[in-house]
Amino acid sequence: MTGKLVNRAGGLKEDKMRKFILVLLVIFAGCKSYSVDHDINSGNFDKYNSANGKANPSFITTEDGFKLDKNLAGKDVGPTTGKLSWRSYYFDFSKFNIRPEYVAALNEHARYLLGHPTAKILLEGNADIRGSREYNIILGKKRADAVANFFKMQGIATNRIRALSYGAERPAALGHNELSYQINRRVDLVYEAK
Amino acid sequence: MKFIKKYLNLTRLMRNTLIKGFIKSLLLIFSCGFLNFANAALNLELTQANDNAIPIAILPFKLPSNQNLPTDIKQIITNDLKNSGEFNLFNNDSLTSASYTINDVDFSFWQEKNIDNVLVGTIETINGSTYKITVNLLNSYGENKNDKIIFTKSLIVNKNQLRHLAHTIANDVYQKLLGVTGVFTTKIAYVKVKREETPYYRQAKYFLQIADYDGYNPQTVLTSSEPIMSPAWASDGRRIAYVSFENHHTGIYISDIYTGKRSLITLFNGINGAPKFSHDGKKLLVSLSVDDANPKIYAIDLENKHATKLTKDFSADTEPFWGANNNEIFFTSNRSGNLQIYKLNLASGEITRLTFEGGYNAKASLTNDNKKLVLLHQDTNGYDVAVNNLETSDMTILTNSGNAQSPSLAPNGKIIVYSDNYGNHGSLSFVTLDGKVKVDLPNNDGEISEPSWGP
Repeated sequence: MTGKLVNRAGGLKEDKMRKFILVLLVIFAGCKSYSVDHDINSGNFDKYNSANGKANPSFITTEDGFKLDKNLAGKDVGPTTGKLSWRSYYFDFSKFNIRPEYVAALNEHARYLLGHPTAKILLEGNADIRGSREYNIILGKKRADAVANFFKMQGIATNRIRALSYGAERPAALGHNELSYQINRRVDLVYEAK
Repeated sequence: MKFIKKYLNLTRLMRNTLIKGFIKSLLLIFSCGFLNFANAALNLELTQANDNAIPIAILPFKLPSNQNLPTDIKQIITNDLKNSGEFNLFNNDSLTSASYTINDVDFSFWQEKNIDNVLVGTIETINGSTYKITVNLLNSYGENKNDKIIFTKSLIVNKNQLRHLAHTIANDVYQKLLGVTGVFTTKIAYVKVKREETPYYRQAKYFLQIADYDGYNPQTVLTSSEPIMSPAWASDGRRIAYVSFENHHTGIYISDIYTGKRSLITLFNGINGAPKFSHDGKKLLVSLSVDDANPKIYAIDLENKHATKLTKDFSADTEPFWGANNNEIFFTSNRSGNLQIYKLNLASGEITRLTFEGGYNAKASLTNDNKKLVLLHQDTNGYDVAVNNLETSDMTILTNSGNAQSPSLAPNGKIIVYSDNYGNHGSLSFVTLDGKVKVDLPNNDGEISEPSWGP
């Protein structure tokens, strides 16, 4: 109440702050959030990968209210058009084989890598929270290795691919339910260099 | 040879990464020494009690007049003994008169109530912040005065030592009445994660912390914007080994919790996981994927950093720990097609499978009598803490959470701490080795996981 009357400088700052917050609100309003409407069993996670042509949507809200952290904001320098915008590849429980529906997108990434010899990728393997934390590190590593081996088979040099496992330590969804578990069994592809 | 070459490269890689990581490391805030977060700890909640507990009365202490004591010693002793599950505490609400010394106690009253043991005490002020505490544990059935006194303890302490003193008294009672060392002055290391929802993305902060066993006095050893995992104590009680993902590489590090001094042990391009000190603290067992996609068990000599590969074959091996003598190593492996616990005899190289019940047994530790394994076991309920008898191969499931993880045995071998999802929140719980008593440690400050019980 009294702050505004007595301290003019303070009032000015407050106005600037208000404008700043308004600008932020406009920016945030432009960030659309997306809803997961697929059947969990279909394994169709395309929506996470190509959201409105933007490679890295800031976050996605699932229908049960979880925010999915793409973990990529500001870090990824890779291509963002078509299937090249696909960054997350999901896996079955306790499995580490690449699902057939991802082969086309991974082939596009392989072609991009062959055409851009300086590009380097990081494959971040993840697992759901259940069970031994140490074994989840192994599962995440095997998933990242599966994608790495796919690229190596396409002729991409080993020193351009790095596989890192976060196990269950960096979940994208925090729920204790099948949907969250599925979202966390994934490999994120990150372009570390163009 | 190949490995040694890689190890030399590693040293170079470590140096480069350390220099490059210097600016990046600004993101990492080191908290050397002890930071105290007041009011962060919460009380334990006993959820399941033991019918055969020892009856004891802990009577209100005589307090200094006109002064509020900063710590409720009687309450701390009461909580310790109650939560151990070994004691049945008398409810003092029905008492009509006070007893502070052996001369005040009406033993016929306690005999009538079937209370075998009575703890009485006085607290006097020496000066502003120093107190003299005298306690007597009394046997209601003793024939004479000497026979009635189980132990007497009298100490002068500073006010900030009162909590520790209370735990020490609880240890003494436990030791005298059970013949086993109490764990009320021990510490537990764990990982805390705080996730903050920002409009853009979810930010997580990872803390390596240690706290008193009851959750009080949490102290931060390391803070990072990337995951921290697998804390493990050395028997000296001052070094903790752990895995850190700083700068998007996994490395095994050791921190000295008193000086904050920190050293990098391994930084391979692959899995660097599951560190565990040898009994003498001179070696570290780890799980590394060096020249194979599947991680193997290595022993690292901490003096010369020389690493010896201990397991081979085509399996993934992790969670190693030394047996009672230094001839045996236990570990988790998927060599049979599913996860089981194995034992490696270092002299003969022979590997023996130890668990047979169920398709998922992991994160094992050996009980103090070396006859059982405490482990994480999967059954139809999900993942729970279980005990596997090594002689009979019988599996006894101790918890019914379905979300249990990371069981770690107390140094006295009587109680297990593990992480759970109590109240839909990563938190710690305790269960006694016989499964009779269960205690939860409610937590509202981030997600707590991977407890490691200190020496």
